[in-house]
Amino acid sequence: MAIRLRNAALLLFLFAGLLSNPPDLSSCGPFLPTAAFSFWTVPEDAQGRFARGQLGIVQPGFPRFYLIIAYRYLAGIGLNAEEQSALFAREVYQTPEAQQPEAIDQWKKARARVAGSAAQPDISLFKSISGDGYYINYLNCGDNAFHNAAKTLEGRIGHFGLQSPVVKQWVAAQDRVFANCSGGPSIPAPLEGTADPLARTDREYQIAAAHFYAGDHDVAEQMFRAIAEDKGSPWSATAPYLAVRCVVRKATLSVKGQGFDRDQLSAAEAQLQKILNDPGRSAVHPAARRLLDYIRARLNPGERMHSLAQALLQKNAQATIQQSSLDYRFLYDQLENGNFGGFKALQGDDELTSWIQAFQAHDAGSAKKAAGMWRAKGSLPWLVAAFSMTHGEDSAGSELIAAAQKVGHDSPAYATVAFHAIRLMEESNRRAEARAALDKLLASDGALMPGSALNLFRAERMKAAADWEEFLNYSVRVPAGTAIAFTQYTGDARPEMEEPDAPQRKPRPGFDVDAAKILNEQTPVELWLNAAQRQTLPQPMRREVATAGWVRSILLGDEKTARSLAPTVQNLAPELKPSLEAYLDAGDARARTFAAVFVMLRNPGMRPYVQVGFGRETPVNKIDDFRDNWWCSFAPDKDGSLPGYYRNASIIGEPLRELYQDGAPKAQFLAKDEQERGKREWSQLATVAAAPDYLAAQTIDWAKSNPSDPRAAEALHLAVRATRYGCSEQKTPYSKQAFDLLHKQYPDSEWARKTKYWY
Amino acid sequence: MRIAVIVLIATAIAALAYRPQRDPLPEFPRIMIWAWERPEKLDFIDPREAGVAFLARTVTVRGEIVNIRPRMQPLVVAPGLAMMAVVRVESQDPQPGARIAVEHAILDATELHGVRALQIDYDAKASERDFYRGVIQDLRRVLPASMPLSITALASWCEYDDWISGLPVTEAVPMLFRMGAEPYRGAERLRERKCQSSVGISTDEPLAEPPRGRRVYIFHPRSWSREELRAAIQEVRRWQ
Repeated sequence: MAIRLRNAALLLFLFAGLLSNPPDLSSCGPFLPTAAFSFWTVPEDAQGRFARGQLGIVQPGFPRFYLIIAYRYLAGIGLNAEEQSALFAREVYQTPEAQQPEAIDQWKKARARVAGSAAQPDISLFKSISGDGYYINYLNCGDNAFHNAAKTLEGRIGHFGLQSPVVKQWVAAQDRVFANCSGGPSIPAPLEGTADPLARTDREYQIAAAHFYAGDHDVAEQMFRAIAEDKGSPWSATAPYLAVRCVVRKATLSVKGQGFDRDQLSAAEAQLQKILNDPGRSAVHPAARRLLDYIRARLNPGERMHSLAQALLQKNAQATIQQSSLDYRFLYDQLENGNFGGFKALQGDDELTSWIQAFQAHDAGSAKKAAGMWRAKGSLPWLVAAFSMTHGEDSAGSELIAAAQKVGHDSPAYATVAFHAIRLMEESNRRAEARAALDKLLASDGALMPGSALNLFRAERMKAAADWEEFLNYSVRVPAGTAIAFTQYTGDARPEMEEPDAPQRKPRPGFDVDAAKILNEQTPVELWLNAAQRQTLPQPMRREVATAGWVRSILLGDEKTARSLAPTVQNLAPELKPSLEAYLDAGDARARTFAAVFVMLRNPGMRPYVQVGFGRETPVNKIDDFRDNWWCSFAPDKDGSLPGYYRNASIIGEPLRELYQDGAPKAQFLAKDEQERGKREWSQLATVAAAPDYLAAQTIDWAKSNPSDPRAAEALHLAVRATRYGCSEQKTPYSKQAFDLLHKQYPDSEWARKTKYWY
Repeated sequence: MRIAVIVLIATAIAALAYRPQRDPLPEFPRIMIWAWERPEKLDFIDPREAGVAFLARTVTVRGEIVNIRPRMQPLVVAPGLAMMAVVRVESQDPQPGARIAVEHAILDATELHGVRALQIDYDAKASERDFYRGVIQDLRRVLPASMPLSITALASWCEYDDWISGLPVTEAVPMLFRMGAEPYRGAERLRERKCQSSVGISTDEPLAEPPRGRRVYIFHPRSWSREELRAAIQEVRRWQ
């Protein structure tokens, strides 16, 4: 009975084990660094060459921050050194939480000088208001509040002395003021009439400020107006401006998240205009102007957008360009999202906005508009926009290609115009002309180009390749940078989110998707042998082609090519040399196949395709932690997509898609029979099982018929391992079969001991 | 005797395998609208039809330094709507010393008016799981028993990397979007028990094989419009 119960428990345990059998790798994560051959969402060297006007190929995927810069250069306005510094100054990118430490630190340092003050209370800058049906958070205490407090404290220490009780009382009151930033209300008490007049006026100001931060805007406004009337108060000059801020806060916060109160904002606008007309209040004029801009952006967004667009096209705008760019992009986002009346609120003919709209829309209507604008104005920005959206079949093509001849090498539009002009030549079957133009361009300008543009020209030249040698030559690209292939869902694109955020890899040449797709899906394996043996490709790429070509020829059953490739693999990948000796020395075809399988089992990095970019970075003989091991099935699933890592590396994305709108590069340089063989082999590869199944099936078969082979036990162990770490789309019996055979046939071997589970 | 044992085992397995699909959030509608960091005016939502899970704040942890960025965009909803505060956590080498500050930051979101549940959105890496586990365990201890604690989950956590199985959470919402170039297929592999009651989708990534019978959280990459929300709800209802 005890034995039966034990068996029952064992059965239950095994059943539970079956339930927990791990399936294949999810497509979710990891978010690995990928080679960025050509940038699409941010210009290469944005703060350097791009900011200086070496624009490379301007892409519609660039954020508007960069398109404004591009437009200025294309329109002949450019950016002087100060404007460049202003645009890229850190403040542009700082988020409120990043500002917190610096501003508060300054206040804390000033405060720490006053001995005997209570411990520094925590300060949070944001205030939350929520009620039935609305949730609002806002930055309540900005940088200036802390800078101003620190400056005032220094002044009072200078006036009253560091040890003065007046200063200590001032600090205690200021702590209460800042407590309202996120909490409150915490209002300091007024000072007696006998107090020092400066201390008394300071306290009145602190009380008004405390009410302001606490959200008592009516009370605060009245107090600031009273302070403004008190000519003896050092705060009388700034108080009217602060009273207007109270009105603006009321206008934006009293409506419970429903936009703003137009009447109150209009009143604030009139009050600010009055301040700006008063020369006696010049100290607050800069702040008043900024607040007025804020108000006008809301009251009359179309007009404000128009004036910002004009401001952004002024020369020597270093004093205003950063704020203009920020405000313009804010308004653009709002109008684009249909807020503030949407784009129909725009007033007048705004060249910059029209250009950005057309360039980013990138559709047929915009193409027509851009071509029309270019014909009417003959300007570079519109030539670039027209080019970027026109295709070979469009009537404007020839006209644009002719116009490109007039764009000089020193023009900021040169690379963009040249790239698209050549693209149009190719699309309209002027391939020889395209080749000649590219050869001339790459010879004269290639060395000076940003890597991103150079790679696109090389891609264009590869597309126009006349023969196999040219294809190989222009398939070689060096990544322009490293990026994370993952877009976080945190909302709208901002420049700071688009910077490649990954440890930069040492640049080394590799294949981009266009070249890899042609090799993997259209090239017969005999040409892989040729590519591996000729010197056109650099050594790491030859190694890639040779190793993958050898695996491929094994899977295709092309023994002749596999045997020819093996010595080349040995030369290019010395660590595989001993394993491949066994393959070459095997006595017959079946033994050779098993020897090849054994090499693959020991080397999870072996697969029958060349990889894109950095590819698999784990050493070939190590298991990759993210299950990028061997290969998955190449059989497309029901909607035509491929499983596993190969799928992600086989999709033509932007900006290569500009060259291949159908996403399908074609090996037109190959002879017809070569194309057919390539296609046939790719179809044949789709019939080969995923690596774990293929390798395990071959191993089981060999071990059964050759039980005395000393490699058999290890091979069975490795086959079980492959089913754990490899890619299998379906449940197959191979893992258990290999496990059972290993334990039955070699029960005392170290490999049986190491193999405790099947998968 | 052998037959009896087999019957016994089969009955035991069946009993173990049978898990009635109880809704862990019975107070909440079957459709939840994610309101992310965008101005959202959702006062047209019928409270009987959908609830709102809104990004209330983002907590960033770097080592022991904790930064809190509250929601900076207004959110307007109809009174009486089922509201869930979402706190997104982003981290880089989070240290145990940061845990209490993170927990306080998350807890503060539950103080917002009308919030009836808390959801944490944290794509914790393997090395960050102990930290996250500790945060969840602490939060569950101090949250009122009536306050559901939901977490978002990478699909892999629900498929095979079942590190979340012992966590004291009400539900884990597998996010079946932003996962690669192709639509997600594999809802049948979401076998982790905590992941059984809900699913997260996005309006710009239609599901190839929508899982049925679950609460659906819907993400939208822009501010919601009435029409977009209506269309999304209708689509989800079609296969829910």
